[in-house]
Amino acid sequence: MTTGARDTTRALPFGRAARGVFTLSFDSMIWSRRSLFMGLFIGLPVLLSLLFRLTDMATRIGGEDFYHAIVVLFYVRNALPLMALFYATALIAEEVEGGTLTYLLARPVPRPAILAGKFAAYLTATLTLALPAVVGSFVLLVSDEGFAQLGSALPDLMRDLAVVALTLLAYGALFALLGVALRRPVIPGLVFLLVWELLANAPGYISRFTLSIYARYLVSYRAIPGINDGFSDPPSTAASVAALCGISVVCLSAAAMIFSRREYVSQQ
Amino acid sequence: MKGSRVVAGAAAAVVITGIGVAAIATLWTHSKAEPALPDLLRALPAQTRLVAHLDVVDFRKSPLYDRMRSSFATESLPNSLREALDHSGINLATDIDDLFVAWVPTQDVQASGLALIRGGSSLAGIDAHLNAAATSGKIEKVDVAGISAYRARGELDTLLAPLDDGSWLIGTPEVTQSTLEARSRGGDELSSHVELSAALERVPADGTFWLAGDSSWLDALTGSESALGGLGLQLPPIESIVASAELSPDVALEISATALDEAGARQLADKARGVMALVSLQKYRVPELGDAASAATITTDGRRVQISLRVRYALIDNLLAQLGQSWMGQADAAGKVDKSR
Repeated sequence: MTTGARDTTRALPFGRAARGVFTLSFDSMIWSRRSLFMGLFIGLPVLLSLLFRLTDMATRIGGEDFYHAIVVLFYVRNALPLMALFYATALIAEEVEGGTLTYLLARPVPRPAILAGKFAAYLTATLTLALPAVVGSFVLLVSDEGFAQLGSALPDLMRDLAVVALTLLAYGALFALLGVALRRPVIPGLVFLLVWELLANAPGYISRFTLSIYARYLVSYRAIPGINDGFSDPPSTAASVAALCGISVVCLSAAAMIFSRREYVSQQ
Repeated sequence: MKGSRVVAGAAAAVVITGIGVAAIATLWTHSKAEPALPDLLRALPAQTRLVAHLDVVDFRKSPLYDRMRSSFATESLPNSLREALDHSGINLATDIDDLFVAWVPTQDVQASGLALIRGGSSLAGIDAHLNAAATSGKIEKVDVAGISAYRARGELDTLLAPLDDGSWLIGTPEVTQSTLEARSRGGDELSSHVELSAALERVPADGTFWLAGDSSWLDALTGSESALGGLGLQLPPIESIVASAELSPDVALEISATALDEAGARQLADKARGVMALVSLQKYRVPELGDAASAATITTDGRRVQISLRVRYALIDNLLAQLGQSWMGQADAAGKVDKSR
């Protein structure tokens, strides 16, 4: 072994391996057709906000109220979960379908590091698309009621950005688990979003078994109260944060465990 | 990788810029804003129940003033207020720029309190008017805490006192005197009313109208013998309420109520939503009520309940027309009100 060369009999350190996977994955995620379409989809409210400011299209709702509705109804309930679905399920599944996983696993890279690097790339890519859109909508809409209103609504913005990050983390972890465990995770993921998550609107405590209920109640305003509001005490901020973080940790740990032990046989 | 780093960097720059703009707006607002409560009013007695403020200049520019102009004509005012205006020479339509009102019930008198009026040079002639009235025996000159004040013993016993900055304090003698004496001692009596002091910290720095009060005035509003008592609201215990309103271009109302605990806040929010639901049920008879109810947002955050409502004047005009009511006399002295505003 020459001086300075790495000991190739040992796997790369976890951090270095994850960083390498992150670099490659982030690059391919950002420069993909999926990101182009997702960027346009997530950026729709910014376009709508621009139209709101430039025209008289909305006379029955103020700018700040419209921003609240966009955050609650568009981002938290629909766009972010969909974004997580299409990115996170593909973390490993895409490598399997493309037949490149075998080559990746052949490298001296610990499997959990592969998943960690890919998940970090997913989180960075989705936040890169989502956060500017939320901020753009905020500035355009809230300033409709005066420059000073931006200042008074700043705590709401910070809270919304944190909710966006937590929502992407939790849903991403769940869908990453689906992506690792199932061959075709998108359909079950869609069923989860379109059927199971509707239980967040149900009366009683059954809504606590969804992710959506925690994300919704983290937002300090709720544009449209749900049926559930009248039937049970909503989860507190601390409980919602704990639930989303806990679900993320459990799902990522399970995904890492499954990915570490599973054998991936190349179709070729 | 370089390209994706640029994209990520650009996204971060957009986010940081947006947050920075909002932070600048916060600092700019704080630097421009005058203190919400003049120092004098911090000397109000501890039994003060409610403090309210009206930016009269903004109010005069609003569509609401156009619709209610005739109710401020001298002949429409209560006798007690008319007497005070006669003695002081104050013209309600032009002389007052800023108005603070405090309700301070005493043991003997429930309807007791004071008003602080600011008008700059517009109020300069008041002293001369009052002096003339004192000379003719209509009112008496008195000394209160070293200030030459005037006492009018008419339908309402009123004390009028000039302050150093050209503003005037007008109110019931007991409350006005105790406030002036506390002020001369440098006292901060109002701070001992913890709930009201905390509520006053939350009033907006600008805005056409705001009020802050403890629960007692709300009890009076929703009690069994009050106008709203018939609704049977039975509100949970409330610590304080802050309300603010912008009157141009629409009526934008913000109400923030602090309950004693989170359960009380949720109960209060439920009551508010129930009232809105009842109002919206009337939409089949009066469609405008459905629009008005749907314009309301009710949210909770810990112990606090926030209610926001924005209503267009046209909607209120239509609603009043449907109900056969008016804006307390819509036609002004010159003719019909301009409802295009």
